[in-house]
Amino acid sequence: MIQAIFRKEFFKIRGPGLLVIAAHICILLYLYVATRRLFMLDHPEVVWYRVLHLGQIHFGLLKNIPLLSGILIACFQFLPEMWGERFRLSLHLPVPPGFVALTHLLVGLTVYCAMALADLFGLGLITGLFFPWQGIKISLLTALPWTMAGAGAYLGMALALLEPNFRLKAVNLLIGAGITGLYLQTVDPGAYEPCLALLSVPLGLMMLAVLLPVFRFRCRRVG
Amino acid sequence: MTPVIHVEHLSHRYGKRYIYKDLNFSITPGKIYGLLGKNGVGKTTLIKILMGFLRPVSGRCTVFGEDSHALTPAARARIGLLFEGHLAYEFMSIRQIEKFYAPFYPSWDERIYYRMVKKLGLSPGHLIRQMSCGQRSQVVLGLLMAQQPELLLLDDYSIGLDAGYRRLFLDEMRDYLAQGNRTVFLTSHVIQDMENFVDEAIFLERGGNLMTTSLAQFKTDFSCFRLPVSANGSTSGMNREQMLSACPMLKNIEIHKDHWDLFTFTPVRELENALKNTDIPGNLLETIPLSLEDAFIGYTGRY
Repeated sequence: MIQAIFRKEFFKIRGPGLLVIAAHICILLYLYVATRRLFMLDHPEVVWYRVLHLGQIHFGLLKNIPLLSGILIACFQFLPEMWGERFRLSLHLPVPPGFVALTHLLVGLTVYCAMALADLFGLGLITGLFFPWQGIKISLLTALPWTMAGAGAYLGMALALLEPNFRLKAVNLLIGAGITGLYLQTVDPGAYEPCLALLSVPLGLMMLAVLLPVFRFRCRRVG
Repeated sequence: MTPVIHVEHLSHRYGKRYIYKDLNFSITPGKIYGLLGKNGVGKTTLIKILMGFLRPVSGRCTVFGEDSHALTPAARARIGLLFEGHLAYEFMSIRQIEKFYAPFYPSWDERIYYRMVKKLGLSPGHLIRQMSCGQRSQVVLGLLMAQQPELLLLDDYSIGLDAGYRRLFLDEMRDYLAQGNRTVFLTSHVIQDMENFVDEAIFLERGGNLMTTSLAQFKTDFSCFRLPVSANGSTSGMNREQMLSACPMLKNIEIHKDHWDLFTFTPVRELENALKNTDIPGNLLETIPLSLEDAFIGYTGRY
């Protein structure tokens, strides 16, 4: 049954998902070109000094990409479900609604994580071509919270899109924006390192919170 | 016999407007029930409540003995639900949607589905979003039939269908019902289709007044009598409301330029006497033959 839901979600998001993947590849290519340009304009030791000692981020472009990807994946996944309230079709299936909701989230998060890991891998690879291993480590530690912001944006959008009540939709959007903002603070590179494990807790809680709008959608009281 | 659906003291409202107050009815297994009523009387709302997508303000609904807002997966597996507008996942193809639903239903029979969609002459890879409303209805009905549910709930199955697809839909339903012990609860705006199809009609009116009868009985008992307008002139200028209050046996009055049409379940003699008591010459009444649609509109009112 999980397989059936995965297959349905694959059919739904494969087209727009491919566009997002293509956009990610283009951005990584641009990042490679931009990093290479740094070394063409300055001596390597100057660039290294700026990046490794002064904390300049050479991949700042990546900061908002996971956020946008998370929002887009949630929209591709849940807007067709809410259009004409088609999600009722899945919620009438003879399985618990919580199972349906979590499986949908699992699909979205799997797609998002695949993209995010590809981004991190690409970033590591590009950084590794030009910097020593300390550069790779600091880059990944800087980009990891941004990746978590994308997951937060995905869950926040799911929370808002699945909510049947418009006022609560707005509240859920604010909650999603607030939690996502936690991961996007302007701090020194790698400054989030000590609290990365702690920062994953709100994401787990958001995942469970998505069950609430789904239950409200499944069995709402209007009157 | 345990009812398939049991509705007890059901009340529901949107804002301050009550859709029903104290609605009560039951449906027994093995029959086809048609829920009939004008737009806005709450037919779709009732289906939503029965399937647990809406919690009523008060009262209780059970389906297969379970509270409708807490149906277990096992109960849902016994129910085939057609959403208004033949709702389907339109990004999937004929084959993909069958593969999606099949693992959820233990009695799934793909032969039923493919037998029905074969009539469309489309390839299995054809996307649902590229289908007409009629073609989509056949796919959706095929999915419902392949589930082999004990109860079919069809919310306005006729919407967007031409006469041919409506006929095809009803023919498929008959085949389904021939397998025995199957129950259908449907709503429709096309009253003619109901005539030779439903066993029991449930007439739902604004405010939740409800009448359950067979359509044959309804057609026999419900009558229209025409009163020439000149006769009204001799009734002290009674208006519609006064007339309805003076003759409580009247269900509805339609006022036309040169005549009034009086709708009632009462035999003509009794109506004549009642009219005479209000100084209206009842002997001028003319019996008007009614089609089922005329009778339905006469019963529910035109607007």
